[in-house]
Amino acid sequence: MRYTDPKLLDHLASTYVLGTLQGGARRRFERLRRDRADVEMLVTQWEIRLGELAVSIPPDEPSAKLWPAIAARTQPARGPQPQLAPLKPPAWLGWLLPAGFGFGGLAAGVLAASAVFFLAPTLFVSSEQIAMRSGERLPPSYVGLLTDALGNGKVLVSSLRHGKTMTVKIIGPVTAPAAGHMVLWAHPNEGPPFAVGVVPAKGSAVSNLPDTSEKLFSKVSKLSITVEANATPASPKGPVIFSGNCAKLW
Amino acid sequence: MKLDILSLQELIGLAAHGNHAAFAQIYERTHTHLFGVAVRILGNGQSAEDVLQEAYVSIWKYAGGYRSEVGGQSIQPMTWLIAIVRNKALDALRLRTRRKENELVQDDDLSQDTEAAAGAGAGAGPSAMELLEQASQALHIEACMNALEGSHRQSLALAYYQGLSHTEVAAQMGAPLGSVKAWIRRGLEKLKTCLAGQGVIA
Repeated sequence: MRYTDPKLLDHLASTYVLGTLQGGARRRFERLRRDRADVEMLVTQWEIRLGELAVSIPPDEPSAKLWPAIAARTQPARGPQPQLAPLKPPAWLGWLLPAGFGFGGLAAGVLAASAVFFLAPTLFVSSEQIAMRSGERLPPSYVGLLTDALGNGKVLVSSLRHGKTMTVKIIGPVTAPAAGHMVLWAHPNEGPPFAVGVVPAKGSAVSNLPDTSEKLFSKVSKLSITVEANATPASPKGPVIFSGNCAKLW
Repeated sequence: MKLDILSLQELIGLAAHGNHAAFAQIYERTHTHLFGVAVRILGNGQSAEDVLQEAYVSIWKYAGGYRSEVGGQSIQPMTWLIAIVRNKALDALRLRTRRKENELVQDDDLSQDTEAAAGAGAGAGPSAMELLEQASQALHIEACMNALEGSHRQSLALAYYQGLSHTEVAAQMGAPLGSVKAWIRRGLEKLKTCLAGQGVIA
């Protein structure tokens, strides 16, 4: 079947959403939908149209057992999650103060460790060895080094494993976009990317995360930075300027 | 944070980051409407609850996949949620139909569910056609949709509200399969035009 005719694609999308497209044709269309943004768009439009028709469906109450069953399958294992709260300063300070060196030392340490990790993975050294070099042991953290297309290191991202803040540091010359924001995206192994913050044009910035690093990044393997008109877009639309891996430093 | 003052969209955003209290709030606000959608297709039996359970587990797992906008087109959270529930309900219905056809399963629950489903469209509650009329009124597309022949509207209503296949619509209406396919196609095209007239994806 030819999938270039817009009328045919719109018709298939409408019957797919309605549910009358079945069997092999439905499965083929599902693959097409995954592969092509234009087809996904048509499906979304039909979901909007046909979703409107649900306005007249009378609500109904399921049994009281349903929510406990759903909660049992979705509740995080460690009991109720704490409400979003800003990170308590001692989490950083408690580690930094006895270390006997300033933030620059920390950044340099993380940078050195991640540079070695990413640029020469075969020579990866354990956190104990890094601790020996820098004179201090690095805490478990998520780190990411984003490079441009030529592999030049541009942005360093770090966050303590159980912390709720993230530090984004510009480590190479970066030309700020004429318009819009540089938005940092985390790409989970499964599921779509989510925005984690805005990247400054120079220097570094510390931002609060909606949850702990562990919760947010444990399944994230890639990071990217795109230029977006909006500082908090729902999905990446602009061009990717830098990208890199996200790794666990412990 | 007071979750009850947040919009559904904001709650989905929090759930995407693992906030289970936000997810509970999403359930609280949407479950009766979404259960209604499942019941229309599957009948008020265990399978409608099973489908709703699977749907909410998916919503929790893939909350990060919700996009409030695709290609400049804004998408209401409810549209996304309904699409998830309908898809799962249709899958369950097709599976049930296949099992029934193959006569591989003869268990009582299934028969009860099947009876309940048959009752959903015909007996209790408004018929599919009545639901389409009520929706058309609510959406201010009644006059526009009434330009369609009754059989066209009827076949679209049966396919949408009861999740019937082309063959099942044809059997229920006592009409040839080819005609039903053409009626549903025209029904969908008309719906698109009528909604565009009201600014829905114009």
